[in-house]
Amino acid sequence: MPDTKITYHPCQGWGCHDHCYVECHTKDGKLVRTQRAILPGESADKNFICMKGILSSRIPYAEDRILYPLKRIGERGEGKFEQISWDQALDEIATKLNEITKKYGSRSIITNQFWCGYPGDWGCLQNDLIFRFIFATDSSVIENPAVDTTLFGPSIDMGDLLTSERGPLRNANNMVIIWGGNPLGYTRPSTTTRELLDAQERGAKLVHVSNLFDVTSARCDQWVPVKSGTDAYFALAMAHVLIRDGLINTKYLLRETAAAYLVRDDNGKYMREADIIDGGRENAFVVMGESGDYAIVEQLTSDEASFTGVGVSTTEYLNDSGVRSSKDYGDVKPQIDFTGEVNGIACKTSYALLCEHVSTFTPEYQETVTGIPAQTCVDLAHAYVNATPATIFVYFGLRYLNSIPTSRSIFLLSYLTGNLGQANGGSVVNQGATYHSATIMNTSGVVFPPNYTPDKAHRIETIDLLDSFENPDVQQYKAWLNPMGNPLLNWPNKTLWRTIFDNLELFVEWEIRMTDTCRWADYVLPEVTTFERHEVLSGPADVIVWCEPAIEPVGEAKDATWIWHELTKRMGLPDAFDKTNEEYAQIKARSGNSCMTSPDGQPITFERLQEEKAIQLNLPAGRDWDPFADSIWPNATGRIEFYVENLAEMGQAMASPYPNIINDSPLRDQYPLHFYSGRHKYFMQGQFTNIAECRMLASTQFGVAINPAEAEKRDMVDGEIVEVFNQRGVMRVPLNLRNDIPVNMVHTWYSFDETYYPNTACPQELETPLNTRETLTPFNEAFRTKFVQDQEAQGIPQPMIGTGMQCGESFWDCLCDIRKVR
Amino acid sequence: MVKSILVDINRCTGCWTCSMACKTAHDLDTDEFWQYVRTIGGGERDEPGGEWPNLYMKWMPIWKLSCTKCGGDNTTDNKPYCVFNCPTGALTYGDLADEQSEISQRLNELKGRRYRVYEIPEWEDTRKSILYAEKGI
Repeated sequence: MPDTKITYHPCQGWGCHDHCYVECHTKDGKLVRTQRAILPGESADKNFICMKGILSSRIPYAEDRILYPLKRIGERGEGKFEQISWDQALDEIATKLNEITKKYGSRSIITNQFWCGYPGDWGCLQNDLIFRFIFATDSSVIENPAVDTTLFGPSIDMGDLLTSERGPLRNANNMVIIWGGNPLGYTRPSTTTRELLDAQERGAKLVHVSNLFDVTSARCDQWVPVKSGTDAYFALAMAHVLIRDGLINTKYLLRETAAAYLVRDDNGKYMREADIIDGGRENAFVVMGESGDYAIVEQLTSDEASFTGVGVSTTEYLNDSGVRSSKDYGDVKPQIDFTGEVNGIACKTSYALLCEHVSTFTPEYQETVTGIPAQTCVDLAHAYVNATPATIFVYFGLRYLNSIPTSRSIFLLSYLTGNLGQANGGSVVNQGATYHSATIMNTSGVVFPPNYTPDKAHRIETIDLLDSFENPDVQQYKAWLNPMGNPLLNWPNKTLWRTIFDNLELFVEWEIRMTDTCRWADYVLPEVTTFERHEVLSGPADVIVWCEPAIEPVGEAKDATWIWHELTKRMGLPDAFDKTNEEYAQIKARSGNSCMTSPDGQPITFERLQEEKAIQLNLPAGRDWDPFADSIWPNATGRIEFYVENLAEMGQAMASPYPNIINDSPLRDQYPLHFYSGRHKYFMQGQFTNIAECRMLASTQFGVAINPAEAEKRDMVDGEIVEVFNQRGVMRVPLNLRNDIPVNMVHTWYSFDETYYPNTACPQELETPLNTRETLTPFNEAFRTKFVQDQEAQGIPQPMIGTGMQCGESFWDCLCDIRKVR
Repeated sequence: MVKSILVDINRCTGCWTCSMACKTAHDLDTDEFWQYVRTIGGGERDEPGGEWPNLYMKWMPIWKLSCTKCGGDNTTDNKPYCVFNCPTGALTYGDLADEQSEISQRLNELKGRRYRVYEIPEWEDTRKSILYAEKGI
């Protein structure tokens, strides 16, 4: 009888954020198959996998799997290594780290903690271990790059409320406007796809607003093609139509937003009680009643110490005297559209300001910018209201410098119509970046080493890192440990990162396969795959899962805990990592989360989890939780502020179009085409490019695609080798003529690694770099400053605060031109 | 008893999960396919037809004669690996002779919603008993 085993694991390509679990079938010690894991209870219909989940089973045995510790013998980037022993690798690395620490200080050691692409993402044990290392060694961790920043748009109006639960998608019955990105196809065609298609089959009309016709456009009932980076104009024109045609939901606006709150003409601030009454309060605001008398509205404060999104009444709040007060205005009937004076101070309601603001964004005007016919704008605005409750799904596809203002503009539509948080409607941003807060695991037993103190470790910014190579007065960074991610493929601009890595005295990578980043490392350490180690994960699909190794490590691969332990032991810190990988996973599992019961009310113990492997969590707010339905807006007024007073000085108090590179850069004259480097659906970022089947399916689309009209202008024909170029480089690749690519765009897939581009640049070399002075924007900087302050106020250690959003996202915000080969 | 597969073209996104599930379950070589996905559009895989912005695209899973209608195993509820792993719910498997079967009920449901139902002509040499249903695309 063959020795067979079934285990459960996060898909190796987890970084797509659909967060699927795969069921592994092992026979005689070899992983033979991965398939959809059937999760218990109601979670069963929340877990589907795509072809990459299926092909995960090939990952441990891929040809480019790193099997032994490697030491560089050629130049950085050459990819020439010799096999060495673990002892030699760890001894040499630890010795060098100690030398660097002695000479430059411990903070000159940087660890990259950016999780994207690592199985389990921020919820995985490896993420916790990285923090344990930096706290134990008082070293540095690099900021997260500005990615997926659409997430932050609505949070500006909502007081830093950050959430991206996809609960509303499961109950949408009437309409879903999918805005930006390709959630039905893309790299993650699984659970999200299923939920959207289910909605469509229930009768929901799917509308896709995007700059490219893709799988989502093909499957939707209506495609609204928009010129890249101009989406905010379309959203604001829809807002214009809603107001112009009397389609707003006044009741919702009064209850949930600060629409009726008065704003002073002279300083752009909300009028406080203190402005009009001696001794008045700063946290009480002024509205104008229909009677013509003003009234004072106290700040609404959640009865939770901090936002949790769980179990909070939707209608009751504490006023500042500790007495419950409801969201209505008592006997006062506030005017939503008031302009006048209060005690001699000229003012308007924030709604009146909004009406003025959007008055110029007519459907006809937006057509000149977005290319969307004015009538389409009018029709969609009406259809969105008529379909109430209707859903807006802002996806990841607004990767331009203006992504935050744009997603904020789109969310404005859900405030004006009251669709936000409404059952069978609602709004979703990104999807899957966060989970029900009750499922977040207590990781303190893993994250904090015995010697932890709050002053340990530091998160550094990329800009400071760059400056350190130019300016001896700033912290000098000399060693880079890269246990997660593949920055040389996934982070633009490749040339920039090569420069950084070349300046380092030590660069260590641990990986499962030879990547672009590995080729630049001094040491490459073989790490186990998700199928060769223990893990515990909680959140996705509302389950907690205990993952046991399906197979023994291939070659000499080791788990991260072992690597960290052996390294810190040699650095003179023998107690920093005193447990095995399995033991740390157990500590985490035993610490659990705040909802460690199953739906039948039975507690989830570690022993039970070990036995059952996957257990559905009993979520306090239900399985289809919509965080926006909780109506907790943790900002100054306690209501949604579509008018943010602190952004008034920079002209961004309300959602507005904001410059980006492709439409507003002076370089547009020189490089007139949009360089759009998308993610291939048969890969997951840079992963799965080593799987033959994925390469086979993707290979016909290698190169660049342009509209035949652009080719005709340049006398190019299908199939010829062309040069795509900008100020950062020249990429020489085959040309594909495609009628589905809009004019003014050069489209390419960025997932192929550098071996596909011999003697020429990769797409990453042309892309606009993330998190440099080139992409700093005043708007993002203002937002980031407040975000970080708020995170610090919650007691989150500085190294664990996600930063990076002082720069605009720029993956797709890039210009180029194309020419025949010279 | 001949088991059938019903393909809801309106739910197929051309993701190839069915094809890869078949390949890994049956340990097929890289270039061997018992089942694959055809794009109906501009000619190339995943290329829309038409001219921007009037574009269209749909996908059609094809079962070759080499398909064994395997029936999976007890971990797939005895559904073929392609059907069990389809993430979009585009595939239904079962006995059309049994009116209570999942496939019969799904077929009747789609017909009731005025879906067009068709099969690939016999001379194309594909697996028999594969029904395709689609509406409005």
